[in-house]
Amino acid sequence: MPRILVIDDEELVIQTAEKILRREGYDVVAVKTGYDAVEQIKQYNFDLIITDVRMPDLNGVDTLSKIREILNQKGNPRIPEICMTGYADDETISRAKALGVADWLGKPFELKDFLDRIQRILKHHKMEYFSYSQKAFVYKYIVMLSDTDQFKHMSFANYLKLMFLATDALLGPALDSEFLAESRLRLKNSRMQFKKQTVPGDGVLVKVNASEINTSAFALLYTFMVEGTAELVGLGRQVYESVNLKTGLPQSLSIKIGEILAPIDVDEKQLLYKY
Amino acid sequence: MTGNKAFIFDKLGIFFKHTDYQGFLHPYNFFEWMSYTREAYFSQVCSDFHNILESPIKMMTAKVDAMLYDDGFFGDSIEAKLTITKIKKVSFDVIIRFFNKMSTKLICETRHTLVFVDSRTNAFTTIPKGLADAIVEYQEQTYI
Repeated sequence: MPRILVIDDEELVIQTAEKILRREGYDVVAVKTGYDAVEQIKQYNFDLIITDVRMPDLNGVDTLSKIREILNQKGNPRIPEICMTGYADDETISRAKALGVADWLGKPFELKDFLDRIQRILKHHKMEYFSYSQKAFVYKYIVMLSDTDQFKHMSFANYLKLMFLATDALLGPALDSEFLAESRLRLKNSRMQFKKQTVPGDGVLVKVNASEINTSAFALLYTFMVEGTAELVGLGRQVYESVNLKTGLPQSLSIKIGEILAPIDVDEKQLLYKY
Repeated sequence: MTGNKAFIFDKLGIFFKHTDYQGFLHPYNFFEWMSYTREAYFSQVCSDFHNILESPIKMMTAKVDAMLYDDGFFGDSIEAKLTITKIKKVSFDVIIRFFNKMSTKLICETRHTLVFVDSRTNAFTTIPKGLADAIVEYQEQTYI
C-alpha cells in the first residue's frame, strides 16, 4: 500500500485529504507543520509527499529542501512531491520550480484531477524504482576537476566516455581471450541526451539495462543519476552487434554475454524515459 | 544529403593509441574528434568565438547521436566534414561526417545539438550574434 505524507496547516484540508486518500486505499500520515514532516521523514519511509506551500514557521518549499537533505544524508532516493497552494509569491513559486517538484496543484482543485495525478506519479516512481534499482547493473564514478569545463561542470565527452567505461565493466568478464580470438562487439549506433550538470565531487551512478536482445545484437540503456539524490543527469542508448572477426558478418552472441544481459533485460516500452 | 558548403577538417589520423585490443578504431575517438572539429570550425568562422567562450554564455551539448558505418584501422587518415542544421533561436545542430580519406567511404556520422545558457541565470539565451551570423553559411537545408 503506497504511503503518503500530507503537510498542511489547515485542519479541514488535512481531514479531507486523509479521508479521500484512505478511501482510495492509500496509507496516509498527515501533519500540520514542516517540522513535524521532517521528523516523520527521519523515522519512516514514504512514497509521495503532498505539501501546502504557504505555512507558518517553515513553508512548503523549505520543508521539501530539508526533507531532501535528510534523504540525501540517509542515502535514500528522492520521494516525488506535489505542491499545492491557493496563492504564493513569485519567489516561492520560482524556488519550488527550481527544486523540480513532480507536480504543482492550485487550490481549489478537482478531486478526480487530484487523484489522477497521485496515481500517475506513484506509477512512474514505482516503475523507475523497479527498473533502475532492482535490475540494473550499476557503475559508479566520482566527477573530478580534470573532467570539467571552464564552468566547472563535467564536459559532455566525459559522459560519453563513462558509457564506454560502464560497458567495459559490465561485459568485460565475457570478453575473454576465447571470445576475442574469433569475435568482436561492434558499436552500431550511440545516442546520449543531457539533463543536468554535475560538478567535482558528485558521485555519478550509471545504471545499465539491456533491451532488444536478439541472436547477434542488443541495446544497452544508460541512466545517469547523481548518487543519493536520484536526480537524472542524462540518458544514453547504444546498440552493439557481435561480428565474426575474420568475415565481419554478424554472429550469435556468446553464452557468457547472454548470461550477463539476461538479468538486466527490460522492456524499453515500459520504461519511464525515452532513451 | 550534404549541403554545398561544408567545413573540412583533415588533421585526423588513426594511431595505435586510438585502437582497441583487436586493432580496430575505438568508437569513442569519434566523439573526441567531433569536439576538435567543431572547435576548429568555430575558431575559423567566428572571429568572436574566444570572447564568447570567456563570457558568461555557456555553450552546452544537449544531445549527441552517432551512426557507425565502417571500421577504421591504424594508419588510416580521416577527414571530417561539418555542416549545420536546425538553427533555432537558442540552439542548432552540428553534423559531422567522418570519411576514410583513402577509400573515401563514410565511416561515421555524428549529430549533436548545442544550446546556449546564461550561466548567471541558468536560463536559455539566444545564440551569440557573431556565431549566429557565421553558421548560416554552413546550413544544410536538405538534411533529413
